[in-house]
Amino acid sequence: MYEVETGNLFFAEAARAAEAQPPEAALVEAARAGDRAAFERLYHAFAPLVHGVLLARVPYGEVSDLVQDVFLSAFRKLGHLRDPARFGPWVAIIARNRAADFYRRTRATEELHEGLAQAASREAEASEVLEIIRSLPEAYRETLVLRLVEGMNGPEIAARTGLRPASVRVNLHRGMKLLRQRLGDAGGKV
Amino acid sequence: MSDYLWDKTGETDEEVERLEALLAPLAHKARTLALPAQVAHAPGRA
Repeated sequence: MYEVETGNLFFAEAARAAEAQPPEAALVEAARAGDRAAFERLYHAFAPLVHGVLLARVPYGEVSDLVQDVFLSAFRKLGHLRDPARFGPWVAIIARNRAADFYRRTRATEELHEGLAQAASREAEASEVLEIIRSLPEAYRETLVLRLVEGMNGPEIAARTGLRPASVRVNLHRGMKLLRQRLGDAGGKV
Repeated sequence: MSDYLWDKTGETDEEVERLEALLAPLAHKARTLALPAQVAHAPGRA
């Protein structure tokens, strides 16, 4: 009787632990076991995060290809991820490193405002606002891009990046305050 | 901070809403990921 109860308790604990795991943990395990569709689901779920992390750092025209690079790198290194539940923070680190690598390979003066600046005025306006966001301190710019460009809300940003919700809240508040100031400094042109 | 900036609830912040609409076209657009044929995933080491 005792053994049965212990067994039930064990399974109840295991069930609770499984419920507490985010869905990406199961996808990571499946991908490690060779399930390519599982990795593609991870890609679709986390591509907006990676896109936002990159867009906060590198020119818009480069981001799409770099997103692919980051996920191919993540696919190859998936066995190195210690905690499958932390896929989001892990792939965000790969993206930040890839952005830094981009600038090591590309002269900063080659900052490409290409295309956007010459395009329709609304796209040019978006490009100018993005440039202002990218001039903000790092913690603010990434959070603001994820919120204003990628359309995530604060709790989603916290869950995906692994940051504490309180930190995301502070970054959003201070970042938006600074952004309003800089947009004002731009003389209402943006 | 307004709830709208935090979780998109509550009274709309007009400036935030304007920036969302302006910047949304720059968001990620779904694209097929071309994975390599086969990769051996070593167990967690880092």
